[in-house]
Amino acid sequence: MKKTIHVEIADVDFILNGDAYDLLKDYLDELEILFAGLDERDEIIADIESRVAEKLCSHQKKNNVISHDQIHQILSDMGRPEDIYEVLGEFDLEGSANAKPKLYRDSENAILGGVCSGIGAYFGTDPVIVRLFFIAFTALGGAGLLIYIILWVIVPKADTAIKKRQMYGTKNVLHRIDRGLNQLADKLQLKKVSRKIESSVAKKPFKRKKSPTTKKKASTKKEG
Amino acid sequence: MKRDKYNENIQSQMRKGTLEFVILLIISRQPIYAGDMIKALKKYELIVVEGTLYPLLNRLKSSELVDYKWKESTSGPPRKYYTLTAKGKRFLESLLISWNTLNQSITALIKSYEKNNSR
Repeated sequence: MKKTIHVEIADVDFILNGDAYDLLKDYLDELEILFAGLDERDEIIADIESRVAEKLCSHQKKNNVISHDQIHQILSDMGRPEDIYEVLGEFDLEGSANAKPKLYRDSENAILGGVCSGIGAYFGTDPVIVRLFFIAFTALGGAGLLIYIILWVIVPKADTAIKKRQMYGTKNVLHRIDRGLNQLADKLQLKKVSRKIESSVAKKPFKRKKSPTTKKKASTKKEG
Repeated sequence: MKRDKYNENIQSQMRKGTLEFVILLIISRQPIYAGDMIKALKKYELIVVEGTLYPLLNRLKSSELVDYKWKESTSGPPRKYYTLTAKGKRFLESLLISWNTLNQSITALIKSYEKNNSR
């Protein structure tokens, strides 16, 4: 017995296998993260859905249930979110660099479960400090170890390139500080700050601020 | 290893820089929807990841360089047929000028490179 799901993609009806549905749903969710903060986010995703629907129409025989493999094939043509990110880079996805950092476990820089390293990325502090804090808290008779284990269980691992990017709030923070300083400088009519940040994430979006100013203002308001 | 990555990066930068230019050139020929743009881009081997087209199109749209009209399709969901706006046409003209200048300089450099290496 297999579950099938009836869906509407770009106003066209399809019947998907349960696992085909999950695959497509995960993909669209990831895209939403990728384009988060872009003004055009919803429209881009609608366009991509429309393309998926078009491809399904050309593959599909009447009332056929769409399989996991079919969706997989289509999505590999569309490109994984990571690949789209690779091609476009931070420059085009400036908005998503402004998204708030999210808490993940950073397994790449982990000693145990990556909890401290993830917290460090979230707050923009050195993970060593976070680790010392946990150790001190445990040694002083607190529940440090217990809290650590709970976090290990409940905080998701940053297992994709996009999640890893979301985790690093620190670069975004630098970018935001610069913008804040510039706004201040504008008021005081001082020279603008042009900090040279090694990371391209922080540097490139900074340049693009020249383009449509009205929109940028709208998005800063949203943030605040 | 590091060298390869650097090389790859430069090549993808070159491709990325021209992608919007290429899209504008394709749209300038006739009203066209994304599916056919992808066909054209694939024919000239200018795009691999289809998903990259959509953020670019939406950016061109919000910069008022292109506009679209909906058209029903017999074989699937309705399509957005893109055209250049007046602003888009002017922009494309200026891109063509920069491209031609760049092209001349690079062609000249390539010629002298080939001369030096054929001796």
